[in-house]
Amino acid sequence: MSTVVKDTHHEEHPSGIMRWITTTNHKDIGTLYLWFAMIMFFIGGLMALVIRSELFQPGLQFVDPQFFNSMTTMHALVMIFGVVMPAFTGLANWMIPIMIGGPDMALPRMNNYSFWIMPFAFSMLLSTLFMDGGAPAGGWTLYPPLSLQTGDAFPFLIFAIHFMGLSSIMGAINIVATILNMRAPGMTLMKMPLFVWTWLITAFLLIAVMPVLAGGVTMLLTDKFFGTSFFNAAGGGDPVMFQHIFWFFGHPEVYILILPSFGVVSAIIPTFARKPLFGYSSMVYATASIAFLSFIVWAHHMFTVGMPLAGEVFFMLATMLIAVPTGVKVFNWVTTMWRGAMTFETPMLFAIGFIIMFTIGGFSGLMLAITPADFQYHDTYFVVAHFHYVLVPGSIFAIMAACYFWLPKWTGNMYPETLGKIHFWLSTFFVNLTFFPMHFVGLAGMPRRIPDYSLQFADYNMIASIGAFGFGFAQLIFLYLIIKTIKGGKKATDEVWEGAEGLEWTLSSPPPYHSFNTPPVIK
Amino acid sequence: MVNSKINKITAKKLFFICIAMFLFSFALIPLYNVICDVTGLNGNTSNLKEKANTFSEATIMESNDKLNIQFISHETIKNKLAFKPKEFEMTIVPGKIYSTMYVATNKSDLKIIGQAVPSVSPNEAAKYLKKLECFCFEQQTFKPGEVVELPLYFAIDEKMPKRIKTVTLSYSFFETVDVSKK
Repeated sequence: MSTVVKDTHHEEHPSGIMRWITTTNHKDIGTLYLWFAMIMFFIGGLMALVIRSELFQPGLQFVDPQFFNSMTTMHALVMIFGVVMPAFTGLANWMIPIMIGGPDMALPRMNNYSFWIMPFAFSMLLSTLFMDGGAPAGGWTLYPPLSLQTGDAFPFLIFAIHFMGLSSIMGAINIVATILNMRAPGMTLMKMPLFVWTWLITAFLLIAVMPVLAGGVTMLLTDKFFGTSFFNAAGGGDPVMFQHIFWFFGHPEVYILILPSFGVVSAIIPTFARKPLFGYSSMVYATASIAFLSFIVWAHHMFTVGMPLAGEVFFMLATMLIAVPTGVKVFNWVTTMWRGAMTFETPMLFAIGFIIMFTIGGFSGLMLAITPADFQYHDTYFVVAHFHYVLVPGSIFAIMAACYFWLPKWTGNMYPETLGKIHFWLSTFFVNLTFFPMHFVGLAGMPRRIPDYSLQFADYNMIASIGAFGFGFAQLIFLYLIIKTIKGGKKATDEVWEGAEGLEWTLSSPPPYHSFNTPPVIK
Repeated sequence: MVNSKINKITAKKLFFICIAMFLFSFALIPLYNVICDVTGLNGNTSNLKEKANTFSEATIMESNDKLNIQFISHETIKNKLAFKPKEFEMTIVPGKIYSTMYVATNKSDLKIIGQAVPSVSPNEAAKYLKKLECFCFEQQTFKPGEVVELPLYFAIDEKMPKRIKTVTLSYSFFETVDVSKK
């Protein structure tokens, strides 16, 4: 492709498939990320439905236990690395250059690479479903020695994780470079929209912890194939050490999955409350404190491994401390809405749903942080309920809110409002039907990652399974709605929303292929 | 673009952080072991030989200083090697040197090479358990059908908190991983 003319002003691009393969345009790459996340969302969702079908009734119905465990493992890997992370990276690609008044991402070619690694990584991961010995089934946390018993799939799993990590790191480097270097004159750091701020902090988290995960899984690989004993007690290693390494990555990772949602909600709430965001700078500092605290709380995932009392107390208190900056955020959102001239379009509904249901997940997180109580909750459905509350009506709802909020800007067409509201109410009803009963069965002692359960859990599991199918089918509305909006609909104005503030609303809907070639004037 | 040079510098700096964090993940292993050894967390006992003259039998003991020490074993290759303590429990006084035996019986018709890995419970007691001589210091070889008595000389440091009344010492015997077979 040496014939490509280097001209940043042209609107032309290769047509057909080559446009998408060779693109270095931040909007195209954002779109690719978002569609990738959408496809993975349905694949991961299908896996969840296999799990919920099996758990519809006690006893073994549809799948054998090994495959069931593969489903829980793969569902987690697909949803975390294939849906939430790419969706947020997609939003970042689309919105960050526009929001800060830059012409494109800082490193456009690397941007292309970091997206196109993903389909290869996930082909590798999903291909393990068809291998001898089955797909990885030891849980997404990959604890040895169990994960080392994975069959032929093992090296594919490890290299898939390496590639996903590489993609996220490259994406994160790009985002940091964009935010630090590409801002329009006058766009000081403390004038940046909160979505940009949360992503800046998220990107630093990614750069800091993805290499640690890469190191940890590399050790697993050498333990299995090259005779090292990092985690093998027989050779002087310690399996518990893997848990420390994994969660040193894993806990900042959960904030990687949620911080950009805070940014999205902080963009939507002021728009529909028609008031500026309450406590902008406290939001920035709260985000930074959450990010800092996320590095010193990892062992709360492993209270039951036999830590000394001092360690348990430290990690318990540090974990509870995170509730303070998170509380600051929730109260700021509520205060932004206070006495605002609120309207309830679909993005606002999703954002308010996010605040309420994410807070429920936050509270169950606080319960889990209490060490003595955690000894009962550990590895039960209560944990499953907790992290699904923060990830589904948390991260996923925020992503959907963002899609509804910016879809008119991206496509130039308004989405059908009534259908959007139906999607919201169905999703909210079914997500609670699915995950709320899990609190009860968890507290009653139902363990996670087991295909069968004792009879007293039958009713709640049946309810949860019905909810899961309802939620799954409700998402087809979302898919239909997006395709319909791309194809046409009522034309959107440039401002789209009455109370919208920010540089993205000064551009046409849809924005030109290259925006802000001359930097905008910042008030 | 004016920016492209600055962008490359930023990217390089960030990439450097990545490499540093990757190396840090490997540094966590010695770090973890050092922390466990220093604090005695995780029930890791030192595999170092203590000098015998650290302890004196002359110390006058009061009867309420007595404590129980229990010996247990984990037979990781049960079908090949029986591995058991000779005495399951002893009543001892801190500061005095004691000895006991573990007995290993090779039930297979192959040579077994491996090493015993110790662990102490409660974790807090780990750093007060001193070993003067232990079979766990080195690799063991058992010929087919052989029965071997494995000696252990130990003492409990007098500085151990008085609230600990029972100490459990466990050994797991692991065969040396034969890489060439894999």
